[in-house]
Amino acid sequence: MIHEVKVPLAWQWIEKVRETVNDVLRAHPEELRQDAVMVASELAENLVKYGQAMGGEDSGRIAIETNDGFVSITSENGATPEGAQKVQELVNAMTAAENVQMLYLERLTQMADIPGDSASELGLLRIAFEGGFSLTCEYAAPRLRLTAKRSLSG
Amino acid sequence: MSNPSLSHVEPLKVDGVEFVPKGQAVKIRGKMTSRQPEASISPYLRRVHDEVCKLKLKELDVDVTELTFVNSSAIRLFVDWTMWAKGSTDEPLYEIVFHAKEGITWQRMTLSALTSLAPKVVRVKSVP
Repeated sequence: MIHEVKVPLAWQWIEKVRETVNDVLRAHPEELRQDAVMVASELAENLVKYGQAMGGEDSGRIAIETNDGFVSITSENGATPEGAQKVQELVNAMTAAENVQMLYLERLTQMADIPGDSASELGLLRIAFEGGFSLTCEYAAPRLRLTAKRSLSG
Repeated sequence: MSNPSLSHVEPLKVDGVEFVPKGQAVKIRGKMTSRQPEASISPYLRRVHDEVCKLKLKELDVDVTELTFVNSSAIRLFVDWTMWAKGSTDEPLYEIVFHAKEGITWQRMTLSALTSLAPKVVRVKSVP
């Protein structure tokens, strides 16, 4: 079953996403719930920060599905070709990396080297490193679709 | 003579998270979900850092066991704090000792990554 949250491009809606994911996975272990909430929250934050209007609506959507032993969390929103390319490049780098922890540490090091830079750009790396989810990305202008997937058994 | 204390730093409650300095420790509880924590929280952490330096503490205990959620923007704050404590010489100005719960994923993973980033500055004590 797919549970979907329409997310207007406004920060206060992200809490609704966290609540929904926590509720959908209430029968699953605490650790999986924590990880899934983090993943959905990071995707929703990116959606609100960088998403653009799509189909005349100032909103995107987050969907969560458990099926065949996997949990999938998907974000969909409007994006510019430049924005989508940046996301695609990062997802490709994460997919190709033998050790995503190294990418995460590299990003922390870059952040340490530029104190006060407000852009953390850590969310997608965190989904893979901390949450153990794999990411895929599809772009058919203007729709950007990101899917994070992990086995329910960890 | 009494031990130096962070008593001059007031507690802070903002955007769902609370900071409570006590003795030579700071307890952080709640959730850090702000869109711009660099505006709402970073100045406060800088205040804590300045006071720790003023008191010449060599170690600061930071209890995050009740900080159940942080977004990636908040992780930026911990990176900045780590770099402040590291200072500009070989020896850090002070050590940040996080008291963390093994069962909370962000604490286990991200704090250990911070330890890798600055091993002389960040230490993690697991709390059951």
